[in-house]
Amino acid sequence: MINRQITYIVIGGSAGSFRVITKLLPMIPKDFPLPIILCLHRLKHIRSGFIEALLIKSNLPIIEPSDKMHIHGGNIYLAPANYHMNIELGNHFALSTYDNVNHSRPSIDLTFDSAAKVFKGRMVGILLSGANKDGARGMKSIHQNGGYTIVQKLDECQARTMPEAAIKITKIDQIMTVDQIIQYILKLGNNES
Amino acid sequence: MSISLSILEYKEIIEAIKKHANVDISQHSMAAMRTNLAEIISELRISSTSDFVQAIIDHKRVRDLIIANIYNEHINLFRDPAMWKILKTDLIDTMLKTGNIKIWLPEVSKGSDFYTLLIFLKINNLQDKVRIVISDESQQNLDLCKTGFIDNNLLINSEMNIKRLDSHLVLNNYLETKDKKTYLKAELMKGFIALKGNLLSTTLPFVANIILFRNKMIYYNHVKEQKVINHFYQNLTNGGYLIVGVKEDLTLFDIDKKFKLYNQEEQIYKRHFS
Repeated sequence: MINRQITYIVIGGSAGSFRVITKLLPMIPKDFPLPIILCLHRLKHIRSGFIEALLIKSNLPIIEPSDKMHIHGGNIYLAPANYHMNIELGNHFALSTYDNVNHSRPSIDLTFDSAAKVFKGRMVGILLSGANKDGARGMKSIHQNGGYTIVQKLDECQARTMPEAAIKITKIDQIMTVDQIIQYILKLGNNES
Repeated sequence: MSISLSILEYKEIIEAIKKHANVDISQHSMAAMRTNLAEIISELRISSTSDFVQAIIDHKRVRDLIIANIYNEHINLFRDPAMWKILKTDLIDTMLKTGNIKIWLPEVSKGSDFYTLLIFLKINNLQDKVRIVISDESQQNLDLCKTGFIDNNLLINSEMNIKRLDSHLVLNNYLETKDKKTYLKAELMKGFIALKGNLLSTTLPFVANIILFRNKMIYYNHVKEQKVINHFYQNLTNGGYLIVGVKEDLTLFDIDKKFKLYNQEEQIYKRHFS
């Protein structure tokens, strides 16, 4: 499918993406070697509950990273409520309380863009269902920096604005169904891509 | 999202800021600062890095704007209400048994936590028992904070936050409007002094009991963070408290000789006795 070594999986989503993530998580085996970084829109003022809901479904640890926490394979990282989550040179997270981007904090655009600049061709950005345009410009940055880009098939999205916006402004390498996205991620873990 | 700065462009800009504004942000988080500077460039409608560097050289207004927005925080009043509850019940009530309390808010920026503290003191009838120092490298930020001006962005979700602290509280009771701008009520603007200067060379008029420094460490790299922690250690009383943001986990670094974690959920640290 692709002839490169992808070692970072970065996923963004908003309305309708929770269903996809909860379908994905139980499929990821305990020995999955890569880090999966999730930037999902969530309520700003609710710090607890979301990660617990995801943990029920997951075989892997899910961590809301603190600032400057290093990124390790075999972990799933979830952007904390009310912070932007950037990726910094040195393979660690850098949080910020910068203004909302696309009415969102965390903003998928900021996570994708910073990841693109650090991970370059070693990452895949996957943009799921969502009702605003956050993530589209981040996908463009991933493409421009040599990363691989996937969006959820529009017909399957509960809200298609987000992947549609990405398709409009940049070249998307693959448009996939949820099942195809899951299979793709599993293959990355098996180094079969 | 505005323009995207390359690493080389970013380095060129911070060199110019250091040389012409005498402010060193080379030890700030690159990811956050790059976004921040790109936003300033966009606001100024400047189209290239070289034009921005020239503007830094030519215009004090541009230099002042950058210094005022180094943190570019957009933090609502009473963010993380649980911390304010702990501040009252666990920290202040205990400390008051041995005398008045001194609180330092370094890098006060747009004043979100400063204003929250002033309202908090009023709510708890503590205004005459607490002395406050605010400090910042930006005179512009300090001047705004001294007026009590509150950017409307800071007010978003703030009413909900204060209600989570106490459902009977109403934020508007502590605010007033002048010329369509929102200010903290004048009666609340007392009990503090403002100091301009570099964080690491700030000389306080007292040794602080509490340093409130939430969501600022996130803008530093590890080297600067260590320097700041050392400086805070020097400026806190034995057993004093350092409060940082809920996602600023200082235990990731070597702080055991200076501080111990007092409250993990709200990231409150207690200074060791020396």
